[in-house]
Amino acid sequence: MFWINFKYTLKALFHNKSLLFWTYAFPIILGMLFNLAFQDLEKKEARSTYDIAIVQNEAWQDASFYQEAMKELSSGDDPLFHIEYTSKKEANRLLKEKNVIGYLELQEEDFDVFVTSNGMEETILQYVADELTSTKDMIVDVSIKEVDKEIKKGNYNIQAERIEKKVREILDTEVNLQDVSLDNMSYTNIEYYTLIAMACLYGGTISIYIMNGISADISSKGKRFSVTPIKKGVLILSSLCAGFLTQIIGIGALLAFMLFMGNANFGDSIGNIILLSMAGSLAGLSLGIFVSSVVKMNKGNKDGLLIGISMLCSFFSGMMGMTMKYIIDTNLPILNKINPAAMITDGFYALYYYHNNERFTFDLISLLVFSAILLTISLIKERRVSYDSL
Amino acid sequence: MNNCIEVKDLVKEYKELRAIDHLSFEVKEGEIFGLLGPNGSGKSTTMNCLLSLLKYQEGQIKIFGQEMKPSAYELKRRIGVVFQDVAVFEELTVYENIDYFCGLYIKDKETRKQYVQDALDLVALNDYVKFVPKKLSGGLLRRLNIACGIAHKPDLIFLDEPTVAVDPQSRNNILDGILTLNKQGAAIVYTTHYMEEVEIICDRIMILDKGKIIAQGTKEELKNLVTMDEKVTVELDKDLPQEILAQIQSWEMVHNLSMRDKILEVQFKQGNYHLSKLVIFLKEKHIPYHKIYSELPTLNDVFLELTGKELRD
Repeated sequence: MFWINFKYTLKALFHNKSLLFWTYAFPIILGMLFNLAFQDLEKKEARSTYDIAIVQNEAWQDASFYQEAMKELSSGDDPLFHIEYTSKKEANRLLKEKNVIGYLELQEEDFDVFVTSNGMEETILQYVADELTSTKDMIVDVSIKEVDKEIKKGNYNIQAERIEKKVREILDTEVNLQDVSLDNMSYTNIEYYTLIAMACLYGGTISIYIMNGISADISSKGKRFSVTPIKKGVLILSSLCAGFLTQIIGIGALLAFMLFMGNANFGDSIGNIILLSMAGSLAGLSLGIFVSSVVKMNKGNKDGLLIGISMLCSFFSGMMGMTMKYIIDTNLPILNKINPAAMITDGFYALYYYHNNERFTFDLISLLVFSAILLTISLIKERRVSYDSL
Repeated sequence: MNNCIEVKDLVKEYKELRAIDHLSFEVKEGEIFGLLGPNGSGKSTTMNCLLSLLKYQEGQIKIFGQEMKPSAYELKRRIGVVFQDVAVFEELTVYENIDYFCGLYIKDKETRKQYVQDALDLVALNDYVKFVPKKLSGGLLRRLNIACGIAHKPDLIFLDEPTVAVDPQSRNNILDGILTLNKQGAAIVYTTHYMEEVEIICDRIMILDKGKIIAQGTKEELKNLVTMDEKVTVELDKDLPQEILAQIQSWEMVHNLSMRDKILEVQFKQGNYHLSKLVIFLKEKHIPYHKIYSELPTLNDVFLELTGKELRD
């Protein structure tokens, strides 16, 4: 029963032209548009070192951690920044005359970031400042905890080496600024990441099509399925497998377009991209099943709601500019922690920007947990259901 | 014969509205049971409750002696349902649709192949196996809908108004198919508001109105419920004057009388020679007529007498 449902659901999906358009053609058309829009812009902005200024105030003089970090980021063969250490007035002048993309001013513990526009370069500056602050906070936090732990054990002879070791262990698993790479930070790539995320979430329309077909309160086919001896859970899972295969083929086509026609440079982590896309597709399909089983609406409205959610999630994850992701990450981090599009794009950033495998794995697991939660709720809601009205 | 359906005191309410009001009935194995009633009488609601698609407030439903509930998967294996709305996949062909739904009951490939073929034969869709539903006419689509519901050879079949909006040829085909399924041993619950169909195929009939049973029994038993025995219709040149109508109305055996658009209808109570008496009367009064004919009461007459309204209102 699992297989016959899988087989015919797959067949029905591949014969549904409207669904195929939204799943396969629409993301590729968007990809073409992004490619056309950003190709020239990127050529103009292609550079690897950014000019910035740092205000040398009292706080900066005392901040040895930040000084060391900035020294790292502005040295070597391919430095991220070229830094002018200057007064506030001079920094303002440099920014006004566009000699720098922005400047940083340390106020007590945190950086104030001054930029005149919201382009990719400025966003990178904001990210770096944010990462530096959080890394410093983390070191302080770990050190205090370690000291506290030793004191509670009655050991007042605290060894600095042990604390340093612990801090290094933790830093190794978190974002390392030295690993920040600009090789793959292009407008096209960033938009492609969010486009893949959006395409994954659009897979939810497949789920809604599937769920409409098996819900007795939505369609006559649903009534028919409800009187068959197949369990609702088996029905949903086998249909989900068919939907997953359909979706993965669509994402594969999108990736192929990006790689071979869309000038995308995904480096050598194609296996991880496929893995992330699969997890993202599962999240999109689960979201569709969840919306369909929890929200009481007709099928047209459910489709509209899902597309709205997908667009909103993609927007928050940076589809209309990476700045939005930064703003959300800074001001309302919980939103992007539960936003599947942000989990997907963050996974890509982890692969290509941060080169951080732990972060990538975390995003991957987050997507799987997100899917599992939504699926479980939906299955509980759908099993052995009788309706108040049909 | 054993009961395949037993319903006791079933009550279904939609907020303020009581759609089914303490319904109790049985359906026996191997019979065709007609559920008759006007639109909104509760026929489909009753069927959906029987199938555990709808929750109900009170009552008990047993099918083949077991309580019917959404998780009664073994019971569901023995049941086939043809819903009023066509429930097929637009993207799949006729053959694939039947094979798909049959496959949800029958695992073995070879058996399923034979069952699908039998269903195609039954609804005469062999020439359309590769057609997608949108290429089929309304009648053929209804036949496909039936084939999808019965291909797994169930012991009990629910048919909810399967002949709505079909051409006479398809209607005859569908009714023949239902009789064939019944001959093969399946009990059938047939809901409709077409009384002619019920008269043709049903062994027992239950008439519903406003969620209540107003009568049940065989055709003959139901017709015995009405005082009318015979209806004589006369097609005239012109409407008869009131004094002539009053004379006919005054006959002791006349139950009711109507004169509309030059057609006289006289309903008689039990008795003999009604037609000949009316013919003699018209001759004596020198009233010419084109046609005169007699009919026995229909289920519509039963419904009219019991509820005061037409079945198709």
